[in-house]
Amino acid sequence: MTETPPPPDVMPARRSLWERVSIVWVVPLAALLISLGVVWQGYVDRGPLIEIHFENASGVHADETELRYRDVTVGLVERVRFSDNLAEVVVEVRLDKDVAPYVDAESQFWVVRPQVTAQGVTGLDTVLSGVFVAGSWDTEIGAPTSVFDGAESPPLIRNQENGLTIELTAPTVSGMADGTPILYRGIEVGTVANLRLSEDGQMVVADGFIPAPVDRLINVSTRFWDTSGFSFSFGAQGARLDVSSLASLVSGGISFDTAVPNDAAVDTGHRFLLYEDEGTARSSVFAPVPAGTTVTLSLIFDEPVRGLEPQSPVTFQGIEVGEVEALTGFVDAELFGDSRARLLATILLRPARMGLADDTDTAALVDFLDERVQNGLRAQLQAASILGGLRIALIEVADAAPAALDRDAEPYPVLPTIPGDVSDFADTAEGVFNRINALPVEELLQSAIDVMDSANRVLNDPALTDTPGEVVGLLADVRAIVGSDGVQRLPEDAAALMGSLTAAAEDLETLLQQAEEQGAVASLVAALDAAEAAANTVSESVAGFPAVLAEIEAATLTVDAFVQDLDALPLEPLTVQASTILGEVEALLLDPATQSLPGEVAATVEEARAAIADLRESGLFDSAVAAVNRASGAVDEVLALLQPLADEAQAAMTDLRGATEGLPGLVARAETLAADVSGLIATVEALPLSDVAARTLALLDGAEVLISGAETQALPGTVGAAVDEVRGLVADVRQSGLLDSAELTLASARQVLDDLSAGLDPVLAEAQATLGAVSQATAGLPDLIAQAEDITDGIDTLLASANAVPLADLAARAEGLIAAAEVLLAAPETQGLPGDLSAALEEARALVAEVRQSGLIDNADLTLTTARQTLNDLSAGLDPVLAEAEVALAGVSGAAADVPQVVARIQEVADGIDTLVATANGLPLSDVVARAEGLIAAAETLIAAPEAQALPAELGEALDALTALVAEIRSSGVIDGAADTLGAAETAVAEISAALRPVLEEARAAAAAVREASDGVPRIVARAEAIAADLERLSQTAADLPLDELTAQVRSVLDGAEALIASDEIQSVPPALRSALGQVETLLAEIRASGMVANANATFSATTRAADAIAEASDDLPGLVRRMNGLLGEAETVIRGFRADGPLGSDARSALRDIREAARSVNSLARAIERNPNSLLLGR
Amino acid sequence: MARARSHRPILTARDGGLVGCTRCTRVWPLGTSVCRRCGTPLESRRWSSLQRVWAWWIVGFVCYIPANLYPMLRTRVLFRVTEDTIIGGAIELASHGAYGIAVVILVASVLIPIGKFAAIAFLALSLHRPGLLDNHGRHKLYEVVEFIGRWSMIDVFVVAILSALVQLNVVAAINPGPAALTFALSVVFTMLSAQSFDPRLIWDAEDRARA
Repeated sequence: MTETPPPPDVMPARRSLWERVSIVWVVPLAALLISLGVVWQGYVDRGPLIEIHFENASGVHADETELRYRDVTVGLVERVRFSDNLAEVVVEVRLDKDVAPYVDAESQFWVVRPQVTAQGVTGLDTVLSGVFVAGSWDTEIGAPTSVFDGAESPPLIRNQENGLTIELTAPTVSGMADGTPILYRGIEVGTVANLRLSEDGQMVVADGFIPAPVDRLINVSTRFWDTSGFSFSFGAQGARLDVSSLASLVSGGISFDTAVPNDAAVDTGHRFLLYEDEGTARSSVFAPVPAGTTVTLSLIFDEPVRGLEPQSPVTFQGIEVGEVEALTGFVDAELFGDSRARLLATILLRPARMGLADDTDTAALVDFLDERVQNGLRAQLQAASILGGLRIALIEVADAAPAALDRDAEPYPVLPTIPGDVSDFADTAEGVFNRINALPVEELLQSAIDVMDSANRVLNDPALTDTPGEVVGLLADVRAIVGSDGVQRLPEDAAALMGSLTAAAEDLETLLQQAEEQGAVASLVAALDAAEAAANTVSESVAGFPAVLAEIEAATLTVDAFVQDLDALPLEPLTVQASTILGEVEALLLDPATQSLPGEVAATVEEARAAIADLRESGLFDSAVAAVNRASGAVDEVLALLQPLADEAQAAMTDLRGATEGLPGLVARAETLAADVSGLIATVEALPLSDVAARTLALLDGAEVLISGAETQALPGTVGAAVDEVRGLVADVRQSGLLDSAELTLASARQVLDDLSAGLDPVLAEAQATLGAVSQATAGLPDLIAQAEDITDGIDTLLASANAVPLADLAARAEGLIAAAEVLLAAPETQGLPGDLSAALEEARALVAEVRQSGLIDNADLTLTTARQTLNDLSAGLDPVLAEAEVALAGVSGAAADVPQVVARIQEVADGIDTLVATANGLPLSDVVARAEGLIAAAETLIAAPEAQALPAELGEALDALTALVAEIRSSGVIDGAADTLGAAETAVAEISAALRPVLEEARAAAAAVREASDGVPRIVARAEAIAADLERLSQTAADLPLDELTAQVRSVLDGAEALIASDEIQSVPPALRSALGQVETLLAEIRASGMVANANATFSATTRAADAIAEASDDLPGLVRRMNGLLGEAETVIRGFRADGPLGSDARSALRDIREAARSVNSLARAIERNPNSLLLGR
Repeated sequence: MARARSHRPILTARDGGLVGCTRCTRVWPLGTSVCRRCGTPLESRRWSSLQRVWAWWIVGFVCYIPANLYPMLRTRVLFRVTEDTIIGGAIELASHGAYGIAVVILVASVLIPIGKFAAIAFLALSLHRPGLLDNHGRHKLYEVVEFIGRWSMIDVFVVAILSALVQLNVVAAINPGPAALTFALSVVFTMLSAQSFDPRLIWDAEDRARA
């Protein structure tokens, strides 16, 4: 055992209090705090505890049953206990703190349990969850209350609902129950609850609640009545059965109605009487309170009053104003003078129902009645209904015996009476029986017996008894007939017949199907459409047609007359004269003088040569050069002045453009003209031109001979000599200083030209003005063009006339002329012409040399430069002109767009042509021809004159000028413009023709349609006429029928029949019948023997054949169908002719409207039934 | 352990100048602050043991009160909701004749928790007033309390399982009430209290008494 070490002296250090306390103490502290917090919170959040006293607490359990407000849990039952004396159950409810302030003394509590009533099942959810306590309180915070009395049933007004609470009173509880609905026009608007007895126990009182907004329908004139179930009354008003809805039959119901909508409003708790039915309620409307003041009167009746009893009504002016209170016998010998018992009726009158104030007392009413009695008011007994019962009526009798109200009678005032108007049912029945009694029943029976005896006699007649046997025999015969072979075969024949008929019917059906398949209907429709379109077109075109036709007719007549006039023209003498002229021309050419013409020409040339030589000596050239210089300067100035002129020309072109707008018409005319010209050309082509050509060839041959002549050969030599001379002349000129003087002359000439140029300014201004005038004049060009149109018309006519001119003869004459020219050329002098010409050329050469030396060329150069400049300027000036021309052409093309108008104008032109032709027709053409004859004679003279010989040379100059002109024209682009214009015109014409073509097509189509349409018209008219005739005939025949006679005859027959029937020979009928039956029998036997049945067979087979024939005939039906189609087309046209606004259409429309309204009514009825099928059952 | 009922003095580790590790039972010389084998802080005696015992004990007891006042289970069958406290439920079971279950519930939810409270309080108090039970008996008592503590949660388990299983929508549903939470907390705190008790103090007390 080792030594134990000494125990160490362990002394824990002394610690402070904080160091000795463990941190873990925080946990219990926190737990305590939390617990305390929870407890405090729970205490604070806890709502107040309230006590509700119930009579019983069925289904209420502590800690389970909730308190609900508007179906939201707001509390919990904590305890259920009894009150101190066990009289009530106290339910302690812990309220939620939120709602606690609202639960004040006004609050109501009740227990909601499942309930099955006639109004439905309520509180179904409580079956599973248990009952709950429901609370209802307002939204105002009130004084806190902790003890409440719970209600046994839900209150009428919950949760401060707006509405009206009333009290309904009735003698019995009938019709009222807790929850009975209050209905207004069948809609539930409120409920009844809290059924109880009134304080005095006399009435049943119930609370009714009608929520807003229906509550404003309630006022003092509102009446409530019981609508539950059905009521059957059988009283003074007759039988009456009131059945309300099945629902109210089960559950009951209270309806109300307000007679005066804006009557005084009622306060909460106003007491209304519940009437037992609607009639009573309504009749009480004017008696605000039925139990109001009553006035008692007495009535004394002398007559028996069986049927009158207490509560019988008293009426005043037909209105029930009271009732009989009591009836008693009454004897007063002193008053009436005898001791007969009379009836004393005591009646209660309600002044309110008589329209008097409700508080009218007896005195006031008696005053009122007294006054009425003065005017004839009496009480009278009346039958209340056919079934008995009496009532008392207060009526005013106009001529009543004077009487007065005995207001001092005891106990009540007595109202005078008059005898009653009681038409008793018993009396009536008695009258009926009396009349039955008065009937002659015995006589009637005696007559009946007689009739029966007669019948008996007839029946007992032996002949009649034999009749059955005869009938039996007849039947046997009939049976034999029926059993015969022929009759037996009858069914088979009939079957065959039926078979044929069936076949025929099938054929017909097939036929109809074919017709259907072939689209007969479709084509019919299409044909009708086309016909309609055609008819439209025709009707449009026909409108304009008569005028056109008239015009065409007039034109044709005019042309006719014209042609006739042309025929009458004396053209033949004209031709003869022309041929004479040509003959003279020929003679002229063959004349020796003409033959010597070339020689004279040569002499002339010689003289010319001499003149040139003189000229050469005169130094004229230098002057000419200067003059040319001067002229070039002047030209410059002129050019400067020409500029405005160009502007003016431009303006003029603008005007021209306006003028060209009239061109289309002109073009149309030109077209016509061209047609005529082509006609002329055709005529010309017919001329013997080949002969002319041959002659021309011969002429050329002559010329050749001339050229190859000796003189012609010598011509160059002569020309050379001439040139030499010219050269000499030039040399002379050079020496003679002519040139200098010429220069002087030219200087002066220049001076002159200067002056001239100065003088030209005004002249140019004048020219400018003139051009302005020209432009203005061109503005008048359209008119001019119109005139030109007229002129072309004239030309047209003229050409037409020219066509008729005998050109052939003229050509023959020309031929002769050419022959003469040929002879002329072949003459020697003509042959010498070349020589002279060569001499002239020599001189010209010399002249040219001089010219070359004289600087003329330079001047010419200058001049040319200036001229070029001028041309440039001109071309520059021409550009706008051309632009203008372009615009003008555009205008032309624009004009081409006006083609329709042109077409219209063509019409006018045609009119003009018409007029013109008429005018031309009226022209004295014969005079013209005579004049032409004279003219030709003059021409003859002219040609024969020597001056005519010089014509060729002048012609040559003119031709030169023409050539230059042509060149200028060619350079100026006029031709292009013209070509363009013509192109545009061509385009325009093409467009016109293109536009015209459809028009013409349409016109042609229209014409065709017209022709087709007009073709059908006569037929239709003829048919209509035939139909009308038939109808007329029919009506005449009908009118002619001898109906009167027929009637008379019928009447006589009837008379005869009547007489026959009236005759006594009816007794002999049975034997006659018997004999007749015997004859019938014989007849039948004969029939059997005669084979009539076989005949019948034959007849049937014939019928079969006939049926076959019908079947065949039905094959022809397509044609018939076609005709039907046509007929339908016409019918459609007729129908289309019906105007929708015609009387028929309006009738149809109104009928349709009626039908539609009827359908709408049916529809609404159906909808109403659909919406409320019950209405069929429930009568609403 | 042999029951040494003799009055022979017991040699404690502290007396031997040693300190034992309460976790791995290795002894170290006194003054060693951390067990070098398992790293547990070494204390010869936990000076705040009693304080902690009492602190947890109080918290557990505070939690135990609402655990008995508030409903443990909220049972809804159709529209009917029943809430049962622990004792109420046991009584109801007993009234339906299920005595066995009622006894089990009473033992597990009432007897055992209350016994634990009492045992811990007795142990803590007996440190200063020994005599009612000897050291061995007290140590035994402590071990029993330690062992039984974990079974106290059986009630909470039942509630948890029922809540999870019985959720039949409209027909029936069981939900834990507020008492389930407080009861569980109470058990937890009681166990903490028991664990906080240093059984070595039992023997020190004998020493002091002997001395």
